[in-house]
Amino acid sequence: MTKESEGGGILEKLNFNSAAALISIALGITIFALIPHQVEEPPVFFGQSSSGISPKLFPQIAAVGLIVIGIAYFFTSFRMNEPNGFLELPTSAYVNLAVAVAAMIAYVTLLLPLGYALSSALVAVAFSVYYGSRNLLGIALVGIGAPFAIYYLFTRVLSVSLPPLPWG
Amino acid sequence: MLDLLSQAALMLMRLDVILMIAAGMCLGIRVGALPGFTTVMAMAIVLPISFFLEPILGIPFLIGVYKGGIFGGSIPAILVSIPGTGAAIATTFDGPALTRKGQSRKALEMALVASAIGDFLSSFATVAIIGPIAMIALMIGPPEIAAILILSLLIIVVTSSGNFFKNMLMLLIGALLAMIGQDPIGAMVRFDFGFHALQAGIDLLPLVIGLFAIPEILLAMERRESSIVAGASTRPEGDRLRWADLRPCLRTIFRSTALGGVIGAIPGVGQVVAAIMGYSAAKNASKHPERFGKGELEGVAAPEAANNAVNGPTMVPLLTLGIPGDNITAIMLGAFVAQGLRPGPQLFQEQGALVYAILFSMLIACVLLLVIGYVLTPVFARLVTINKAYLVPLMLLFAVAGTYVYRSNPMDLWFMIAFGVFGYCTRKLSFDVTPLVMSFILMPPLEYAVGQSMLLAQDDVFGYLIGSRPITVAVLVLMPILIFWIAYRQRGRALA
Repeated sequence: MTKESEGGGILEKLNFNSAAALISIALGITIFALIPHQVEEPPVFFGQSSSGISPKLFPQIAAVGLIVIGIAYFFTSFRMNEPNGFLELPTSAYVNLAVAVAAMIAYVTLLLPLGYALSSALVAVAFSVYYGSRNLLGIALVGIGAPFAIYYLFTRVLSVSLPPLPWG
Repeated sequence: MLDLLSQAALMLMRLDVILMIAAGMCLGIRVGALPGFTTVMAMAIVLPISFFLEPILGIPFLIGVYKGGIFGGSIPAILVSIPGTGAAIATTFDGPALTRKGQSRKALEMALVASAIGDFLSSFATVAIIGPIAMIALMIGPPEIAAILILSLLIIVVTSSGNFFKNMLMLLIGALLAMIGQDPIGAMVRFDFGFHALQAGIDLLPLVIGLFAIPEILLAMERRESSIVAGASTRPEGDRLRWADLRPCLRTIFRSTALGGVIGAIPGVGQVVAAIMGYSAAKNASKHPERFGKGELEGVAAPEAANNAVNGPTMVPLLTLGIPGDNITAIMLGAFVAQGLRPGPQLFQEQGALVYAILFSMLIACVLLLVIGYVLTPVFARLVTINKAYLVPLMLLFAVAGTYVYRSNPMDLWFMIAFGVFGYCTRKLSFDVTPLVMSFILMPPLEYAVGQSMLLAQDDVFGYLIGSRPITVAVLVLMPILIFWIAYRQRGRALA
């Protein structure tokens, strides 16, 4: 028998699902509070709305839904003993994930100043080397061949625009 | 009608159409054969390519990826007991046992033939019935559409994997994301938080690429595994499939095709359920059920015919009502919309020949699957192990290019990363993002249909529904019964 199902205080029964349920309730309350400030009202002609329903109706339904579902989910969460996938990860995995997300952020930041091909080449080489590749030919293909091939595919074959190289 | 069909056939008499389907199929089989990478991910990444091609090239290209991907998942399932895609889970019951017996070539060819037959027959049935269904769909109005959309969303919630409340939470988050921008009736600005870029709303592309492709990259990065099945033999071995092997399995293939076809038409159920049901039905009907799980060819034919038979009928709710049944058809919907084609009954009136040409391309894709699969399966089989150090950056490059090109808006790239991190977290915490994607897509038409219905009702909703809309009332009354029945069946299957 798991600890959760043996009874005990509420604090002992809390798990990541309980936290997700509380976030749902908080999100619902926040949305509800934001609706009067973040949703425009349509003009009224001759005392009649032109749209049939207010643009606030669906956000209000969603906000109430988040609160109601959040409450039900919170009480159900005490009986749920799903594994938390984050707890199974070694510390190195968090480092790898942080590097990957940082690389993606850098990629998007550099996309416009450096252009698609150059920023892609940098990020592809970085990813490939960090991933463990030491094969120069493979790195060159992914780091140089692929960015320029994709750039060519989109800009020349499909005739759409990607950020060009800084020198044009 | 005959005129429409002949126009459709003429539209397909082009070599580039065949080549695009073949290219999509090779890509689909390749990605499907890679354990850990899904067909949905492949479709999300190549979706933007389809935007800039003619509809008759772009959409069949995606159909090729779809069909190839579903079959491709069976290759590692048979050879190394790892399903390349979720749809191939049931193929691991007998496929690896056949490989251990030295009959992997026969198992792969059985998977191919069963997939092609299942897919072709269900696609043929789809072509035959979709026209009359669209005619019926033309007769329904906003109240019926609203009721059907609500029903579809609820079916998706109860049929998605995981807890009901978690699925509902995902559905509501998807609904709120869809509400950012302008409301679909009066174009009133909602939740822009003072950012001009948010007034156009969130596009489907960063959402699907973020939720389906970026998490795969992050999952691969976690442990930086360069090769998945080191040292395993992935060379197909043994005799080829003969008519004498296939003939006893035909009954099973037809049964699985029927099962998969019906399941495909129901939103939210999908290939995994079809494959497991097809396998169970074959085992129940067999005179030698004890052989199943120990290397029975029928055990490969049944799930493969069933999971590929889902492909065609998923297009029925998509094309006739604009309701995607799963993540793959949600991506297909994105492709249609980007081409200026809004799936729904009107599409058959306005672009009937094109719709039928796309449907015919599904049949061509099935024939191509047989040819390409027969020739290239041994090649793809040897590539089951690939160095992810090259594949992961390649995926990222495509994801960024694909997200950017549609609107040339850097904000979409930030959304893509944000949805990617969110999608990764949902995987780790056992949330299914399917209800989120579906509600994101279906919420604007639902809100529009409800608004139209309220205008029609003129402040007397109950009187209007009961007096003038019996179908809506019937759907609304039957909705809870149907939902409880599906939930009950799902629970029973999960326990089994």
